Amino acid sequence: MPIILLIFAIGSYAYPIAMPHYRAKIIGISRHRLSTDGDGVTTLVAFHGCPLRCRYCLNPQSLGYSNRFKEYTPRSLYDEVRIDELYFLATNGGVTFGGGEPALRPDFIQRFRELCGSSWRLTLETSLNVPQENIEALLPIIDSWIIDIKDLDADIYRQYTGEDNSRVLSNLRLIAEADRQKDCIIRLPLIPDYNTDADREESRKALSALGYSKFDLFTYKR
Amino acid sequence: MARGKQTCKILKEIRRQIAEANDIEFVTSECRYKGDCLGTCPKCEAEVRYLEQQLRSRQLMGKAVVLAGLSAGMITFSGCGSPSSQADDSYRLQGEPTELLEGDDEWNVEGELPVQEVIDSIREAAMMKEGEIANISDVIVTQGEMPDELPKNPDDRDIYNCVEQMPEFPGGNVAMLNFIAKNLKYPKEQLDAGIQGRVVIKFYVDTLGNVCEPTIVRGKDPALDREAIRLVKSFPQFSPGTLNGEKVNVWLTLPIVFKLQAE
Repeated sequence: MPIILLIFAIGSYAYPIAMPHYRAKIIGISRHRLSTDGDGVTTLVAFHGCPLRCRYCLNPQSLGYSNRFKEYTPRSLYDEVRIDELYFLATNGGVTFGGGEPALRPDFIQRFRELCGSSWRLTLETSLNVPQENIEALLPIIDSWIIDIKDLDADIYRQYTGEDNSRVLSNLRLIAEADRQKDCIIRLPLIPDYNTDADREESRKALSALGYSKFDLFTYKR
Repeated sequence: MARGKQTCKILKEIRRQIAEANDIEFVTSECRYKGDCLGTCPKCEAEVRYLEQQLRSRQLMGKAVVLAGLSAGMITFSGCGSPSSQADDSYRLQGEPTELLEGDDEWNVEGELPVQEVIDSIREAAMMKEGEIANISDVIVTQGEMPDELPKNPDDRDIYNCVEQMPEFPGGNVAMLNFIAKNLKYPKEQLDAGIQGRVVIKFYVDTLGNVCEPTIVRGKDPALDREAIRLVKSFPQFSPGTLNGEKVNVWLTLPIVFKLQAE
């Protein structure tokens, strides 16, 4: 009996260590995106799964309860998207990881980077509401960051997303400490019924103080 | 699906630039497809595979391949293309790369790709994974993007990058090519020195059809740049671009090729 238990323990220990690198749930792959997800010709790879529950979520199929996804390994994803490598290289484009929340899968993205090499531009479209170690792992891998902060005000953020934004703030500081603000575009949405232009201006001031200078102001659709 | 057609044009221009930079004969023909366009098709893909094969051959022969960032200036991120976007010039899509060069002497090559190439690429395309999520790109959007809507005004002066009906030179693109061919004056000094190349110029067409603010996006030589600007300033009035039936200002980007005749 003890022997059986030991084998089980080894098996259950090995499983979560080995598996995360090899599969990710992807809700969509969109090729030839021009000027929407970063410089150059880009392919958007949208991950399944998100820690937030935003009221006006554009891709609710990315949320946990949806089963509209396909599983990929870094290799199978690379094999599928490399069809556009010529465009990526000629335009300094590459792959934009969105979702869902792509920063939940730094392991997968790291392996993907090893496969595609350094010449593809990898962009992350993220809320930054993930553990700090995920961002630490992604900083050397990701070229450009598109960060949707929703609103920096904690109450507004919680009302709109259902979550706390302290991890967003600490990750913003982490990126600033790495002196990578120039690689970031911060999205400052006007969220109908949740924030105002004055709130956005407050967010902007705070972010400017952290050294961020590229902002994208727009309005969420209800 | 105007966006698909627009994407197709831009990708074709990138392919053309890759071919030009690497001395690859680029054989293409005008797309006559009238239906919904996804931005690419087996024929477009065949051209990409053809270029890849040609580039590989060059590498095997020890020749340098020009590729990295070759067309980087064509597509720059414009945020969400939103009306209130604070993005500066470096974040703007540089308008439509026109199909004009198809009529340029340098590229006026009729015919099809080598037959085997086409067959191979169609076969390859057929083997592409067509998973259940592969073709639902229209429903995947990034935050802030407005699906199924035309790009909004990218700057405070109401100048658009892409609209339903782009501005048109009187008589169309062929007439514009003829106008350029007839009126382009090769600066003598550069002619004698054998300086040739491509100047990319950007301007916007206002609601009256006037060419405004021509500026050099990618220059070649100061005299050639000046001549490109002079030429564009001498254009007759365009038909203005329209968005939702209303005339609007629209950015255009136009490559002008200065090429010496072979002796």
